[in-house]
Amino acid sequence: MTESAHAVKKSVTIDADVLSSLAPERTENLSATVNESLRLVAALDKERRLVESWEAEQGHPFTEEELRPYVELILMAEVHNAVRVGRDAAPSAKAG
Amino acid sequence: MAGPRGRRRRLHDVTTVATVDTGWVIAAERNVLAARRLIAAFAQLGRMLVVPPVVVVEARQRSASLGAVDDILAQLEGEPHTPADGRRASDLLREAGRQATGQGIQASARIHTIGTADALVAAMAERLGGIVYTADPRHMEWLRDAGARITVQPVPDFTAHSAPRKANLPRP
Repeated sequence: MTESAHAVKKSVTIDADVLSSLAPERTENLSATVNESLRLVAALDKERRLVESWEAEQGHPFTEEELRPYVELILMAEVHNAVRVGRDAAPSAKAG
Repeated sequence: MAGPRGRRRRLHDVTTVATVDTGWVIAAERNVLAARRLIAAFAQLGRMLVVPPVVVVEARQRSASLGAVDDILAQLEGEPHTPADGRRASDLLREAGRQATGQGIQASARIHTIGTADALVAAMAERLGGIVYTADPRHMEWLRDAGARITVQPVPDFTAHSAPRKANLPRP
């Protein structure tokens, strides 16, 4: 998620319904929105390629059984985090 | 892009990321298969693990094998520190020291034990949504008790545990 100082100008076409669905602050600087979105896609692509390379190395994809405990762990951490955020935002938390 | 308060929106506003500390990287280096499975699970869910620069420095210093630790670091998304992270880390360390004094422990000793690096990790984790994966929950829990808005997730299944440990619920 680091930012690059080097930029390339490209002409792109965006579906009108996508554009109209964006929050106003996202259309104020559309280049920034496009860049941030592509940065996310690129990071996820890199991650996916990495996993595929490991799967090729071991000769088979990770199984559901292998990944389930980790998926559960990630989701539980997110649930706990959401609970914490909700509690931090509650008026009683602010008062305390 | 400026947000409602002039704040630039970042990727963590639209996806879930989790920050790792140095202990996580070292533990991952020692059990590469478990680390790969965790990262594969992150990929399956469309999430990312983020590594701060200070963790890169510490992990490379502490590792016995630069090549092995660099392999782990290359699997993580980099995120720069900000001056605000530095101020926040300082505030958290001061508060952790103050709380230690209340428990009869020297503030400087507690601050030294936690270390600048973990305080910076906590500050960044707070900025990126709050989840931090760590091999040593004690430091992060002290920082959380000092006011860091973080959820501390112990390293899963990297060393002695046969199954991932569940996330610690934040204290009431």
